[in-house]
Amino acid sequence: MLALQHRGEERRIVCSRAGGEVTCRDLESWSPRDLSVRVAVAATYSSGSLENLVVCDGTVAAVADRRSRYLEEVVEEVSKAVNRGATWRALGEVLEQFSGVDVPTFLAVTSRDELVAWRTPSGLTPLVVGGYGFDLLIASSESSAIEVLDADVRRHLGPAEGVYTSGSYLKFFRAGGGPARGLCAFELLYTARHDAVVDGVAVYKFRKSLGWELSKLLASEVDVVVGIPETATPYAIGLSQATGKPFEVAFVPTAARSRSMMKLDPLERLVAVHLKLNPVRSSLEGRRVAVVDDSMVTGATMRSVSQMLRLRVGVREIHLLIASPRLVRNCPYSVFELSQDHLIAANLDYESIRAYLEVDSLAWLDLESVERVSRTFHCNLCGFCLGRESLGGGR
Amino acid sequence: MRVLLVGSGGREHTLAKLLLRSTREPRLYVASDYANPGLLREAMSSGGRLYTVNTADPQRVAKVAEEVSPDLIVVGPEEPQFAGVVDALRDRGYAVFGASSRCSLIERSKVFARTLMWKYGIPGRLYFKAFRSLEEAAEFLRFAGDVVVKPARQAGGKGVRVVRDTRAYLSTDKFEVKAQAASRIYEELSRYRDSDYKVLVEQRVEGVEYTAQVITDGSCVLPLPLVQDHPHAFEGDLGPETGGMGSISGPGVTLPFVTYDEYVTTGDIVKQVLERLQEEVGDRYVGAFAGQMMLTALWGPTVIEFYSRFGDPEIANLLPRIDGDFLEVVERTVSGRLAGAKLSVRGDVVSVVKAIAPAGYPSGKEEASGHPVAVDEGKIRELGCDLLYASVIAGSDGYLYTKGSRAFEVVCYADSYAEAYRLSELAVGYVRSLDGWPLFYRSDVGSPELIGERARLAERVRKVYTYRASRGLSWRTVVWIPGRGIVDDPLLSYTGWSK
Repeated sequence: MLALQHRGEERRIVCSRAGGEVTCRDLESWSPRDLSVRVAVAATYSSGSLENLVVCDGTVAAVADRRSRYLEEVVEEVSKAVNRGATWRALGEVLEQFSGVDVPTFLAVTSRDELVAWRTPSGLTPLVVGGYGFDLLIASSESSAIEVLDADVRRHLGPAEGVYTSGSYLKFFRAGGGPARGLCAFELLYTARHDAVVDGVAVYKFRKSLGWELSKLLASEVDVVVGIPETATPYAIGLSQATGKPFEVAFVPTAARSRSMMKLDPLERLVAVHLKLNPVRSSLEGRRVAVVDDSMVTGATMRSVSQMLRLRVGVREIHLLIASPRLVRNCPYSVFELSQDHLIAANLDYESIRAYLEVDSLAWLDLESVERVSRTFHCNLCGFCLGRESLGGGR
Repeated sequence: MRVLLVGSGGREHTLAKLLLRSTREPRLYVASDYANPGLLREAMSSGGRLYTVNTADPQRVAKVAEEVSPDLIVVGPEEPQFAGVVDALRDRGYAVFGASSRCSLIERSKVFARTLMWKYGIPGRLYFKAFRSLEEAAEFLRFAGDVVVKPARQAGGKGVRVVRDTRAYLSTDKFEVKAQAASRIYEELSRYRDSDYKVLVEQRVEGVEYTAQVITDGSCVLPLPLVQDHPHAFEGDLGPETGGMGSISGPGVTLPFVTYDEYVTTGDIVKQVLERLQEEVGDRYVGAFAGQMMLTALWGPTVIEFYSRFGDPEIANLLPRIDGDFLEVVERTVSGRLAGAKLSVRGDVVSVVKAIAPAGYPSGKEEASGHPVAVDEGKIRELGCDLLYASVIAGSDGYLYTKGSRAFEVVCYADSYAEAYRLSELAVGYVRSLDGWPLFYRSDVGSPELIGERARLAERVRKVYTYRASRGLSWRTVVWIPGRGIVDDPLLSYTGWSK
């Protein structure tokens, strides 16, 4: 859970069989010492409300990585099949029925101690399978979680791929079809940890390459390059290497790291942001600073940053570079639950944004650069929220 | 020539000294709330006398004037102005230096002062909102962000609560602080009947503060050198806000951390305010006026508040820094002939003023009162410094006793801050407590370290306001509230829209 908490930490849920039934509980009330548990699925969420994220009917419990009204239907069908005593093959056929439907990637545990992990046919969100010794199978959204558990990454599941195990039997399978949307661009741009490998793409390298692309957008001479706390670091390093300007640490976070963008309540989001922002004055005072952020949603973070850099630190100039294209549409797949009127790039023109943020210049990475880098990494990304259906064009 | 000076503290002691320097050898009479030994001595030595009288009572002061029948009256503090002392004296035909009650509204009512600046679009103004009821104030504060909560009426500099609220993880607690401040102010101001508005909520700014004092006869404005006051009680700008624990001035007409351009802009603001104020209240402004300024990221020179009199201890810096006949300047002001007045500034001289106060000041005046103190005035003079008597009286036993506020001020000068500072530190050493009750002063006032720190802060602020001005953002604060659009209200919390 710790290894995945950057994907949200509002609620942590564990589902497993206890007696004849599967139940879901908050992690805090779950006892990991219960040796009778053979299979458990768990998820960490940025939202307190689990509606359409966790579904459990006593026979099957599933945790999904985004909201979808189809999760309940899938669980219902799988549950019926389990109650009929269906084989794994029959379960696969049940999933097959959901071809072309926007089912989220999910992990399910059954009352027969089976595990079903299935990646959504559209391929929007990832799934990785790892192993530990002779005992353990781990399926996770992110390879980092597998490594942190001291296990080995074995296989990145592709769209519509899944894994089934009952302990005495294990099979990778493919179920469901329909058009592949591609991997959510934000998985590579923001969500995954720098140490993760997503669908075979090394996140750190991908981000650094986008940082190199940013150098073309830097219109003005700068003295230093900084990244807005941790998520922007590889971009800033890429930009620093491309421009030959030193990369500096600008802020030190206080207490546990928390993903500000994952918070739904604006006040909580700012709380999370501000906790990351204690400036390192000595590295920036009097300098012209290129500030790199991985993305900009409402701009509230950047405004706090620019106020702090000007008033607390006393920088000479602020040139803001956003390492992703403008966020202009809300995500119809509920990967990010942000409404369109909260997206600054969708609502304000360049000058207004610059006046609001009080920066000397401002640039977003262009879609073509992301397209080019994605192609180099052989990945196909969903860029709906960035205003383009697909980026990179297939593998 | 007979001069009647109204007022009791260090400011009036300075005025007495300045007036008595005149070659016209005036006789000084003083109407004072208590027998300030310094004022008493100045009066006696000039052949005048001191009257103990409630200086905020127009009838009583008028009676003293009748007895003295002065050629000129100088009213020092603001409370007598507010109470109509100046008006009562003018009505009786006296020539008075000091703002009328109508003109002094600029100091008494912060709401009036702020409104005036907005009405006429005078630069250096801050966003504010004023409240008559505590409920309204509390409701507004719920949505307010980075603000200062102030009493809407001048209340001796007390009750101002600066709530820096730039870190969201503290904002819930800070709301409590704001609400508490509002309720304290409300309580404090309920004893004044002359102000409808009780609580003022103002945009919080930060930067370097300084005071711009002028003398005006209503049309001509004579600027005095800038002074920096130190309102915090303790060293390191710590502790509660006081009337001022010390001040510095020079070299030239500005300060080491204020540029000449900023000085000029400040002067323009002060002049515009004086002009509009007289239009607005329909009265001539005759006397001293001051802008308590701050160099901010918003505007550069920005108005924090106004004084309808000389600042205390700011005025004390003038003792060693101006040449010329001050009495003549005052006389010309009163008779509307200030235009030809001469007052030259000793540009090469810098001054450091330090106040010495009994522990307990400013919040516990009672415990700070009644302590015997001694001062070796001869030694202070040997250093070339001056001593001003403020909140102190002579007991029947011949000893001096504290009255609860700043007891003395020492005024030192030299051709460098390092030297003026050194002298001031020696001078304060000649004031001592006789009963062991601690006296305090600020050792950092005038120190090259503190001046350097101010200069660095000013430079940081200067960078921001020049950047903002170059982007057409002077004074404008653009706030984007998702779902609502751009608003120009910096009082709103950055999280206001989420609550």
